[in-house]
Amino acid sequence: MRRPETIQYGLDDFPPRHISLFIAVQQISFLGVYLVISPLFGRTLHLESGAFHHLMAATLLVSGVGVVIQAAGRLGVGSGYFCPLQVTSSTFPAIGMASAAGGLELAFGMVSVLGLAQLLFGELFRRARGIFSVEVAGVAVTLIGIGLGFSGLKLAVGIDTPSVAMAHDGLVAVLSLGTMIACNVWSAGRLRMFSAMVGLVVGFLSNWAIAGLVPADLQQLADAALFMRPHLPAFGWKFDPELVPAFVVVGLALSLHGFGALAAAQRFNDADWKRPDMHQVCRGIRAEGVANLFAALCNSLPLTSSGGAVGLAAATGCTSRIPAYWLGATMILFAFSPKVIFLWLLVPVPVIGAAAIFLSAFTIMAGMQMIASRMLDNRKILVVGLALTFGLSHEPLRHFYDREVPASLHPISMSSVALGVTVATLLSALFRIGARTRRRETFDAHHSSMDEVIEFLERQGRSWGARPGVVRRAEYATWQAFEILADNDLAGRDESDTTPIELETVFDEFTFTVIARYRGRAVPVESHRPTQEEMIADETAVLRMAGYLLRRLADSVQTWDDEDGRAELTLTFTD
Amino acid sequence: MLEISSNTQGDLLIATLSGRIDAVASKTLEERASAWIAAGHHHLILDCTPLIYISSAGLRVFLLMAKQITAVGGSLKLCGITGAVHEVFEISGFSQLFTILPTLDEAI
Repeated sequence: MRRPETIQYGLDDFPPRHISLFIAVQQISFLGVYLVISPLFGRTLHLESGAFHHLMAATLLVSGVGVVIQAAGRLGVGSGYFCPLQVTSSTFPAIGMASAAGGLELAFGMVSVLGLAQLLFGELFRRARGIFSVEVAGVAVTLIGIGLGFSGLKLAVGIDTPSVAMAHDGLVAVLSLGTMIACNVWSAGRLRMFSAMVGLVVGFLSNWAIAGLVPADLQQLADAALFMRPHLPAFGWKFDPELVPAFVVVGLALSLHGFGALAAAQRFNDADWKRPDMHQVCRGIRAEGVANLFAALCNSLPLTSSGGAVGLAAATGCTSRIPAYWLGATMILFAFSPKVIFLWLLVPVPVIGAAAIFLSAFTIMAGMQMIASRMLDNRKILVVGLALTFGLSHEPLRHFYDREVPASLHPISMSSVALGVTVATLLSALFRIGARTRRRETFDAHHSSMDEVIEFLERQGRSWGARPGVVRRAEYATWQAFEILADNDLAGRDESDTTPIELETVFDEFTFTVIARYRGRAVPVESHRPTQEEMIADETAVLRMAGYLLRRLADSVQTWDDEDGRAELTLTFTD
Repeated sequence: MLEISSNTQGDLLIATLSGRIDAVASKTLEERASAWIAAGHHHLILDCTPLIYISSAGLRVFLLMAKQITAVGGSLKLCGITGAVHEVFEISGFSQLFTILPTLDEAI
C-alpha cells in the first residue's frame, strides 16, 4: 500500500490529537444531515418529541460504536479503514412496512434480520470475489459519488429536505461550496484539511446573517436538557417470519452499498490500488452487520457505510483510522446530550448540501479511475454501461420504480447504488458463463507478425480486465521471446517448413501468464546483463541481453526442454 | 516494421525512428547509420517518439552507432523514449550510456 500524494495522514498514520478531534467534528457536521433523516422519518411515523430524541440518541450511539468497530478491525470484524456509518432512506420502506404491521417494536426486531443477513452477504461476497471485479467496484464508487452529488443538489435547493426551502438557501449553498473549493484548491496544509469544516462554518454564519435564527429552534435548544441518559431500547422488539425476506433484501442493498464505500476507502488509501480486497470488504460488511444487530438491540435506525464520509476524508487529505475513535467517542457523548443534538441540527440543510456536492467530485473521480484502470472487453463494457444507466435512472424513474417494482425489492430500487451495483453484479456473474481463463493459439516464429501476437494478447487482456501496463509488458516480452526463438534457431521447423509456437494465456485473479510451447531447445535466461564491451565485440551477447530482458520484463520466467525435443517458456506477469 | 526518415539542420542529422526495431530492422538501421556517418554526418539525433519496440539486437545497433560516432569525434543524442521502450532502456542499463532528452526540441 502506497500513500497517495494528496493524502497527508494515511491509514496507519497518527495525526496529532487536536487534528483528529477537528477531523471528527468535521465528519460529525457532515454526517449530521443523515441524522436529520431520523426526525424526518420519526415524523412520518408520528413519534412524539421524547421518542424522537431516543431514536436519535440510539442512532448516534450505534453510529459511534459502529465506526470504532469498523476502524479497529479486531476478531475478524471491521475492515480497519476509516469508514463511518450513516442512516439511509433506502431502509425506510421496510421499516415503515414492519411498523405498520406490528408497531416499531416489530420494525426494530426485524433490523436484527438485516444485520444477520449482512453477516451472511459479507461472507458470500468474499467467496464470489471473481464477480466483484474492479469494474463492479468502480461502478459502485462512481454511483456513490453521483448519488452524493444528486442528494447535495437537492438539499441545496430545498427538494425533499427535512425543512421548508427558503429563498436564500441557494445563496448560502453557493457561499458554502465556494469556500470549500477555495480552501481545497488554493490553500495547503491545515486549511485544506478542514476545507469542509470552514465551508460549513461560513455557510452557517452567512445563513445566520441573512435570515437570523428561527425563534422556535432557539426555544427548542433552550428547553433541551444538557444531559440525559438515552432510554434503550425505547420501543422493544418483536419478530414476524413473514417479513424476513423483505429485511434480507434490505441487508443485501446495504451490503452492496457497503461494498462500494469500502472499495472507495481502499482506493483512496492506496496510490497503487489494483483491485478490491474482498477479505477486507467481507470484514467491513461484517462490522456493518454487527452494528445493525446492535442497532436492533438499542432500537436505532439501521446504518450503512457512508461513501460521503469516506470521500470527505480523502478530499481533506486525512484517511487515518485514528480520527474514527475520536468520531466514535464524540458521537457517543452526543447521544447523552439532547442540547448538543439540537445545536447540531441547527446547521442549515443547504450547507450540508454544499458539502455533499463538494465531496461527490472526489468520489466520482475515484470511481472513474477504478473503471479506467482496466482493459475492458464487450462484456465488461456492458457491465459498466448498463449498471451506470440503471443506477442513474433511479432519480428520474423513481416513481416508475415505486409503482412497478414489487414492494419487497424497494430497498434495492430506492437506492441508485444498490440498483446499479445489483445490475453490475448480476451481469458480472452472467458474463462469467463461457468466459475462459485459458486460451491457445498457434503462431509461426518466422512468418507471424508482431501485430498478430499483440492482437491475441490484447484480446485476452480485455477479456480478463487486466491492467494495460501488464499486457504491454507481456506483449513486449513475448515478441522478444519470438525473436530469440526464430533468430537463434532455438525453435525447430516442422515438415511443412514452418516454425510453430503454441501460445497459451492463463489468467487468474492476480497473474497474467503466457506459455510458449515449441519443438527445440530452451531459451537461455540470464540473471546478469552483458557489458557494453561484450555487446559490441560478442554477437552472442545479444542473445544474453535478450534473455536478461525476458527475465526483467516478466515477474517470473520458467524454461524447460526434454529429450523428445519439446520445449516450453513460461512468462508470468503480476497483475 | 521500422520506418526511418531523416533531415538535416546545419551539421545535425535528425532521424526519426518509427515502429519496431527487431532483429531484421536492426540490420537496416545499422546500414543507414553507417551511411550517414560515412557521408560526414557526425552529429546525430535519433527521435524515438514513434518507436514502440526495440529488441536486444536493436540495442546493439545503438551501441555500434555510438562507438562509430565517438571514433570520429561526433555526438549521438536520443530523444522521445517513452513507455515500454523506456523501460527496456532502463532495464538494459542503456539509459546511462546515452544522452537521452525528453523531446526533440530539447535535443536540438
